[in-house]
Amino acid sequence: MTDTAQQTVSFVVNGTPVSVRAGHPHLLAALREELGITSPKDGCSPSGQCGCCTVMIDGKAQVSCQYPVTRAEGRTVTTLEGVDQTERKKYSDAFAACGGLQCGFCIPGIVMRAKSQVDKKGADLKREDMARHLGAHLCRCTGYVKVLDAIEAVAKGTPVDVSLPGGVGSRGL
Amino acid sequence: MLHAALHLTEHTRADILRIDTSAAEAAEGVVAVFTRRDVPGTNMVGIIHKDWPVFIGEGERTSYAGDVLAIVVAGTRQQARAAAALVRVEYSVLRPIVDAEAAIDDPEIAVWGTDSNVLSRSEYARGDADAALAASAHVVHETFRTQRIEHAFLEPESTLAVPDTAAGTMHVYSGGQGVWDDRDQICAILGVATDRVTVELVSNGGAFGGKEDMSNQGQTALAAWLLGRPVKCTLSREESLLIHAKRHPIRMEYWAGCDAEGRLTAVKARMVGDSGAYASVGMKVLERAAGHATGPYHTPAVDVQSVAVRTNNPVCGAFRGFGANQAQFAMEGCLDRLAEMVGISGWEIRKRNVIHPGEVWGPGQIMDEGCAGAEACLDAIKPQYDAAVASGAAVGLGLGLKNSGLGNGFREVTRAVVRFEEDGTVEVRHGWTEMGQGVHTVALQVAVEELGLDPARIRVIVDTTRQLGFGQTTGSRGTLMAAASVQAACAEAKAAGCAPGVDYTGEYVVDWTQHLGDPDHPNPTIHSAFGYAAQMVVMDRETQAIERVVAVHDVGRAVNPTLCEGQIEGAVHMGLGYALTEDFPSDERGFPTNMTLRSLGILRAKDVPPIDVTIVECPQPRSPYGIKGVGEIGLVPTAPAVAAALHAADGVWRTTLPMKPKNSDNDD
Repeated sequence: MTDTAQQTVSFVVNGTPVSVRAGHPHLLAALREELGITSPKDGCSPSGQCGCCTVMIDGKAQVSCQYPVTRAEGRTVTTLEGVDQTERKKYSDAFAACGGLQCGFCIPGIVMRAKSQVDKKGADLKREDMARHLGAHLCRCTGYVKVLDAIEAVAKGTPVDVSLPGGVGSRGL
Repeated sequence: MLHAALHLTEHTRADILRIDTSAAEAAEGVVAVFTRRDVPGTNMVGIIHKDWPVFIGEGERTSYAGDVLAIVVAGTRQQARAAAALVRVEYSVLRPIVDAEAAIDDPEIAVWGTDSNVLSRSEYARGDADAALAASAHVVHETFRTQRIEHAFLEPESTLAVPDTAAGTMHVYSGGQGVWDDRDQICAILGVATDRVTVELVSNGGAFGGKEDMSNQGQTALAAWLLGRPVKCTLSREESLLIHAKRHPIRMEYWAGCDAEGRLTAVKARMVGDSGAYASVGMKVLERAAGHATGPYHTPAVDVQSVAVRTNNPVCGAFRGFGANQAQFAMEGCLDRLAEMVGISGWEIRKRNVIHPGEVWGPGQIMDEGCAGAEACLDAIKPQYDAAVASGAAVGLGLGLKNSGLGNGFREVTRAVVRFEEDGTVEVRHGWTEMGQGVHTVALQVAVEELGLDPARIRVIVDTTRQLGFGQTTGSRGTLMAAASVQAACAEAKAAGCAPGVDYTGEYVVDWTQHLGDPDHPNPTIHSAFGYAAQMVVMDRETQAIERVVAVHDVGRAVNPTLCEGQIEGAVHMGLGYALTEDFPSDERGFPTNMTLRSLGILRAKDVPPIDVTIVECPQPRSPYGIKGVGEIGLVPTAPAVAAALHAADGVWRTTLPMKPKNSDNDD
């Protein structure tokens, strides 16, 4: 019987080569518990039904609690931490300005999914199509309305107002 | 840091003969296993009644599927969880008591340590409802049933406890909704004074009422305390589904009468809520259902009784809406049936009955100027309602109200501190839980409003190092209470010239409410404030697909309109699920049968119709900035509006949630 505790799996995360223990139950656990990469969230592992743990693997959005660690061998994994800062700020500005997050727990996974669609389609990304692609994701706070507003703003390059809130009655976040 | 995992019961009602932790203790990486016998203080906690055991020990008895038998502490989370499965328990299994109505008269007591299966009764009456019904032109008599619902906040419960053995103190990071309640309960478990434990709020990934009761804070704090080492415990989704309190399923038998013009003459209601095992706030939910039984309408005669019943089913407690959703699903259903009998529209019957300032409402409260919001919402939605009806769509309308604040005679206190630091930053400390609703933002905005500060200088903190909190962030009161206390603290600061290094404390108290059904108060002020909302569902007649939802909400004063809209949109999403797809049933053993997120029936993004939100501001007297509240009301009128739209489409009156379209392929 193979002693999996002895084996390691090597891949690239956010541009850095890493080796992790093969014995993690899934890639999400390896990222969070061994590598300290905590933007992908654990909402329901190992069932893969909430999308909070979505990362990009070889450019494709994947639910990382459904992804065996051993399958990551030799691949390129990207989480929010590894997204170019200017690009990441476009997402955070849009989500803040549009009110696209409330508790925020589902957002890192949703942003990785959105990025995979925006990267492919840019301004041609339709709201209804993005809504379909969010099928792997659950949000209990927003009803998805302002989430889709924010993704639309990023896709179209619409300027957003990121002022901090003012006094009572102001909209800033 | 060590990691912990819980071992839960395999039976909802069973005597524990033996707990064998030896295999768990011997497992790889395990540092310790703790059980009932390790509790130095009290084993019974709870936010109101202290009836919820921290552990069930040998010689004791389980009462629901989320009972905890042991906590296993190990080097990694994986090791702790693997070892927790090795705890071996011998049970003497008893008959689970799972039918709430039958439980009332069951000779056996469902919940260990209690002396009755009736947790609470709430009742009030005005006038002679039976006589008024007998004399009415039209009467509706219908029994409605609503379902148990799971909160499904996305972040499972997590606690980190960090002891300081040298100082004899501990710092606990909690994702609960009431860190002062967590602190007090933890200290009672440990048998120490409350100044020995500081609980710091971690802004948590959604709660909706499901994080008011402690989940794993007690067991985790105990483990860390006894080991003298930091311990973190995060529940799995399955454990979360099993442990925390749910939305009450309630059976409601209603009689409602009106005159020939559709003016209500009387409402009579008999409600039975399955409250599950431990009390939590179950008695308050059924009290709230009773109080809101007549919706936002004028009813000359009323007779309402509600009962909360203990069973071995999942514990039910706080969940956004808190009994008002259930009651108003029934009341709105009665009103729509009466409208059909009279031959007027859903809008028209509501217009003829909506409560006005100065009128007596429900349990006898004389409504203040704030209640003008009910009619304001109804009037504001009329143009869209008329257009939708004229378009030939199937249209359903709901009108609802929801209290802000606990009311019912509670003395509600809120405090805040504003402190100017030497470095130019400003700390704003308040007593409420940030769970995504933006209460920290509200606190910041009030400080900006009152002191003219640059928002970038402000830091908002919630922890128990100051005595600022009294109870749970619940009852749609976070914005109102946080704003009031921060406003008061800013007034103190201004009066003293905003000197640095000083805690400027402000306090706001709501103490002018009375209990419902109190014979000494025939016109009690049950709640100090209510929010109001009108929601319309526009549905395709053929497919019964919802084309859009229109939500018109009176929030008193929108501190942050974007956050208000977000609350309403999120609540409508929850309300549509409540109406059509969500359920959390349990089996004959008392175990939940929907044990995955997907099985809960929560709507995904592609299934959410467009939601059109309009905010109305009818200021609430005696409230800071005229604020009401908006946290819960967004899903009060939704299911009624869906029910009315479905009836408009297929002529079927529905009485049970969740509702199925007539041409649905799903089996019931």
